[in-house]
Parts: sequence; C-alpha cells; structure tokens
Amino acid sequence: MAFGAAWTIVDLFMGFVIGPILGRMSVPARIELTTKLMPKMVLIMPTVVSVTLAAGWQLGVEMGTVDSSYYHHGLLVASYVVVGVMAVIALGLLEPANIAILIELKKPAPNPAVIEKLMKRFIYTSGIIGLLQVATLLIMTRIAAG
Amino acid sequence: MTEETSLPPVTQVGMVSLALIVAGGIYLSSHIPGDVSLMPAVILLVLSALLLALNFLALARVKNFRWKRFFDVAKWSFLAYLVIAGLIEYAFVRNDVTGGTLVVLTLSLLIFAIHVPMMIGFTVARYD
Repeated sequence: MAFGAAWTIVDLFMGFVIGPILGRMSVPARIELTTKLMPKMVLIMPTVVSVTLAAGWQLGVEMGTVDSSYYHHGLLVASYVVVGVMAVIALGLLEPANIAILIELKKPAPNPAVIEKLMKRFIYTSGIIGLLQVATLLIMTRIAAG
Repeated sequence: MTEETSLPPVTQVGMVSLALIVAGGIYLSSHIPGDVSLMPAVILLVLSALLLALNFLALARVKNFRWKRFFDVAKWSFLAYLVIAGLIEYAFVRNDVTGGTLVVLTLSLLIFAIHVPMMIGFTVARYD
C-alpha cells in the first residue's frame, strides 16, 4: 500500500508540479535538475511499480478478491485495464525516455534539444499516468465503499 | 540523430504488441480460478509475436541506424527484463498456474522481455 501510494504521488508530482516548473526554468538549470533527478527516477519508479503490482496481486490472492466470484469483480477487471494501460505507457514511452536522457547527459556535450524533447515526453507521460492513478483510486474507493 | 523521416514506428508498434499481451493477461486473470478457453489469449499472443517480428524486420531495413548504440543499451535492458520476467514467472508458478495457461503467460513474458529492451535501445539510438 505504501509503495502504491508512493507511485501515485510521484507520478502526479512529476506531471503537475515538476513539469510546469521545469518549463519555466532556463536551459542550463533544466539540464542541471535533469542530471540529478533522472538517475534517481530510474531506480525509484521501477521499484515502486514492481513492488506495488506484485504485493497487490498476492494480497488479492490471499483475500480472494481476484476470484471471478468476488462481488466487485467487474471493478477489479476495470482496475486491471487501467493498470495495463499505465504499464504500456510506462514501458513504451516513459522508461525509454528516461534511459535516453541519462545516456545523453553522460556525453561530453549533451544536446539540449534532445534532452528537451525527451523530458517533455517524460513529463507528459508522467502526468497521464498520474491521472490514470487517480482512476485506480476512484475504483478502489468504489470497491471499499461496497 | 538518425534521420527521423526514415525511421519505422518501432515504439508505436511495440506498444501495440505490449497492449495485446497485456489484454491476454487480463483475459486470463479475470477468469481465475475457473476454467477458460485459451483461444482468445493465444490469438492475442500470436498477433503480438507477429508485431514483434515485423518490428525487427522494419528496423533491420533502416539505413545508417546506430546499431552499436542500440545493442549497447538493449543487451543490458534485456538482462534486466529477463530478471523481471523470471520473477513474474516465479509468481505464476507459486500461485499454481499450470498447463496451457502457464505456457501462454510464459510466452507473453518472453515477448515482453524482448520488446521492451528493443524500444529502449531504439529510443536511445534514434537520438544518438
């Protein structure tokens, strides 16, 4: 649960707080922030996502909520779809952009245009995933409310 | 950077391929613990594999692509995703998934472990 909350908070923070701030910074400042931020994100995000999904599934198996006979099975399947969309976006767009930024920053003369393009992709997709996280929160609230 | 106009839509095709195996996984997991026809999941898996093959072919035809950079990045990503796929496979086995369902999920994980490193390697190489 803690890792799940961390995943949601980090995505929303990146998309809706860091993103707009980054857009108003000077290019050298953006590069400096990106240089320090992105290596941490490569470690943090896959970890919180993997732990959330693995632990969440095991908890569901233990509690029997993943069974097709569960009362809110339809809502559970809806959450699978939302998480599936998040996974495809994260694996296809977010993580490649993250790795590409890291590699570009390690060059003796990083190309600011490439970093800017990839950071935009990173920030926008973080925001989209954050919104999808809100959708999972709504589904969980609906399930908890009975 | 490799000329943008000459690049095939590797990322987009890769995401569609991933979406297909995710859909197959959702279909199978939404029927736990009952028996379910594997045919829809198999069809999705085959389509996903076809897209993977098409992606490789399309990328292989690109002239002047940064292959060294691509493989430098993709091989390490593949190692990481092989470990991740192994952990997920372990979870399936621990949860008593057997038979045809396990075969379909295992092959889906294989496509996942190949396609994601391919997309990472492609993204890095195209902007190199």
